[in-house]
Amino acid sequence: MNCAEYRDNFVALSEELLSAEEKQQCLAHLQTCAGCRAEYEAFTSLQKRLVARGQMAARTGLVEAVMRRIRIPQKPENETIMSILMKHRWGFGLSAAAGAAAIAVAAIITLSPRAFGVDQVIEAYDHVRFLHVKTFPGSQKLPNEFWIKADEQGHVEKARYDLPQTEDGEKLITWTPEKAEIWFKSKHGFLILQTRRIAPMMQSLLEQSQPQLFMKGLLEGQKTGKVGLSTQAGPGDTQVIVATNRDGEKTIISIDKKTDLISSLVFYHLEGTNEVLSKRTEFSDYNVPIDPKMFELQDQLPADVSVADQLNQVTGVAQGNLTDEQAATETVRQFFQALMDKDYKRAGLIYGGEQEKHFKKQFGVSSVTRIISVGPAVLQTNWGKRGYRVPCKLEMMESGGHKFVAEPGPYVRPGDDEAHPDHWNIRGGVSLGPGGGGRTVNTLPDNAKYAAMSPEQTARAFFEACSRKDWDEAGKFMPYLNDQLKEYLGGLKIISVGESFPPEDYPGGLAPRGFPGRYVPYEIQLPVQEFNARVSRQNAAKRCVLTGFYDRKLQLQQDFKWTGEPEVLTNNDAYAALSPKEVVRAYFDAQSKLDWNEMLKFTSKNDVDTTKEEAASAEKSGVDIRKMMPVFEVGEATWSPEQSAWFVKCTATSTKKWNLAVRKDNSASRWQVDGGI
Amino acid sequence: MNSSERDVGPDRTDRDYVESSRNGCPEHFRLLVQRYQKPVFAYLASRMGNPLEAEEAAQESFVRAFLSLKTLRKPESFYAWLLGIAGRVAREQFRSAVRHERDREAAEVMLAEADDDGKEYPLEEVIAALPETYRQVIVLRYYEGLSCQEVGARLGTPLGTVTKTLSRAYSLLRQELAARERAEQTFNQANQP
Repeated sequence: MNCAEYRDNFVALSEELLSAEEKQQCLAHLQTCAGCRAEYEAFTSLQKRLVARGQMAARTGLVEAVMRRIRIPQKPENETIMSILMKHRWGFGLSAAAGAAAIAVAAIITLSPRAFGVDQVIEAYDHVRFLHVKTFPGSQKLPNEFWIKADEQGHVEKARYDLPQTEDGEKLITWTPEKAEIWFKSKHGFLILQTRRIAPMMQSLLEQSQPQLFMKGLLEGQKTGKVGLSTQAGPGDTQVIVATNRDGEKTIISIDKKTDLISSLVFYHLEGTNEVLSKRTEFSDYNVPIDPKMFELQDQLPADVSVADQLNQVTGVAQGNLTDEQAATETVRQFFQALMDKDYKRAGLIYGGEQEKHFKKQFGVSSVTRIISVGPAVLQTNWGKRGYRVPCKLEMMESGGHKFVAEPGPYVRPGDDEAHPDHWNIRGGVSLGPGGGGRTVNTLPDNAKYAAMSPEQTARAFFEACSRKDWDEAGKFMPYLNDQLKEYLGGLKIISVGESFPPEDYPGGLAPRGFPGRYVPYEIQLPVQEFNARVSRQNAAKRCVLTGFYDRKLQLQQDFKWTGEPEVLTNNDAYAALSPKEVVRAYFDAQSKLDWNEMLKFTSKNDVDTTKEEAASAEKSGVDIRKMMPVFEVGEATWSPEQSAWFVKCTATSTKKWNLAVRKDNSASRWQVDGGI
Repeated sequence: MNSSERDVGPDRTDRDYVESSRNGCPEHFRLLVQRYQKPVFAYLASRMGNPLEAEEAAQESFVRAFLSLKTLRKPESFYAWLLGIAGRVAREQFRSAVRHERDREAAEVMLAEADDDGKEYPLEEVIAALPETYRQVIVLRYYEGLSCQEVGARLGTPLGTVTKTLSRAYSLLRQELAARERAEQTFNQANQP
């Protein structure tokens, strides 16, 4: 062995890992070679130092602490999620981009100073504290709006939301863990209660706004192959991430590059081969403090609103040992008994905690003189939770002494008040006019004037109010007048109002059976409607077709629900040569001529079928739909890269000739518009 | 062998873990922390003199390394780069202590202690400069405290190869340390009045 080979054995020698013979050889060499001896001494000295270093660090355990820190959001460094995404996009491809996003998600993303505007408080915030959200469900015209305030831990502390279009009409809701207020604006009702059901919804919205939380789910999906992710530049300072799952459902996440915060989420689902907009969510006003007054509704209530307090009192009738059916029946029986006893306070309590004065006003006009029958209760299966309708027969007496029989069918459900879920409350259907109707119409201060109107006068007064956009006045004839209708009718011109007729005279026998009112024929000119037609060429036939109508603000109004590819026509090339604008014009031409086959070349079967049905229904009602067709003007077409489609501006000027349905079976004895608009 | 066992062993290079960490497996950064936590701590403890502060600084160094992993151009030089970050963290903490009047005394103590113990910290720097094969065995043998047999088992190499590699690593370390000492002496002489 030479010196170098002996030196290779130094470690083995010092650690007693050589055979006796090898060791002997080594030691003998060290005895004779001064160079190797010096080298060995230096080696053992260094070895001791290294052993000491190792011992010093022996108890160090940093792994978990470090991993914990890199999983929680850190203060923003110089990079943004997007700079990382883009860098890796070019460097490593899409999976790497997502990977980088994972790192960013785990470690970097948090709010940038710009999101707060107050640099010095950044460190106090790891989460969004204030947020404004708008959601646009696919078929809904007006957005639902939410304002959320969260605590330092990111838990929702207060929320307020406005829902313009619900089955209850417009609703405003405020929520804290202690108290929720629901203002049924269209129904003039106000409910105070405590509920835990709102918190998870608000929390979910809040978390959707935060890239580190929202992206986490997507990235996990990508890891397991359930979600495909891609990035693309969006308009202006927006970066777009497109996530598609195996069912073809697509989410487009737009991120503001300046703040790294999610600005919108757009959800699409597949119908056949078509992508259909499911919902759009817009996030704004990140950490812009919300006026505390926003979370208080009670101060803003008009005087005539009926307040039901389920928070500060136990409402309803206790179930005890009764079955659900028995409890429902007993609740209704006690309610009418209270009315018979003129105990309006008790009646109000059974009616979900409504105020005594409201009940006195509503039920004090005529009195219940005898309960003829209550029940049996009928299970309602169309509600999310168990509930019953309880048909009743009551003997009533008007203030003039006239007796009649009312047949209301109150709806009864266990309490929404989570503190008293075993108490059953009446939820409506207690109208006590002749025949019953289940609707509540407030008695106006000058009720007599309106009660004296004929159906024709009512229709004219209603349309006149609409033409002046006097919605308070119009609301007296139609309590459920929502914003959509206001936009549709506001500024109309009356052409004619005819003589009313009973339901049995309705052309074609189309009136609902037993409708307790009358119909007023009318003709009006509707205000000019502006809208957009969405046109797409991304189909097998490679020609432009319409996929839906959108309003001026590009919110979806009508989805044409394509269920398959457009047919490749025999003269497909001629149609494929048409511009989006020409296609929209041709569509309206075909529609106005009721040429269904031609119309089908530009739109879905679903749209054609719907239009056909409307035309047939109008014809049966004695209306010439050709005359009713709006005059359409087609404007410019704009390409939307986000939607990969053209939006063609359109206007419609139309007259409407129809029959307004009015009914008077309410406690205020006024004719009310019930349909036919 | 299941996947977690496969991931834990140092049979993958620093480059592998750096790349997988920044390409979607941040959990792989854990393996880099496992690998270098002790040398980094030893290095900082020597520089800063206070084990508690050294531990904090070591944590901070790893977190910073993770956050700027994308800027690392040579993933195979991860450890050297990490020590560079650790050095900056140590300097920052020192400056920060000096800046605060009330901590001046502590800073002086820190300085004094650093003078006493500080001569050992170049060891980690020199280890960082070793080729990966040598660095790996030094770290496992002395900082992880594994026996030569255990190092062989971890790396899947025969015992004889481990001991030879370690011996050569020593030799390289020694040469490098000697070169540094010479350079330092020259520097000191040049700066004497």
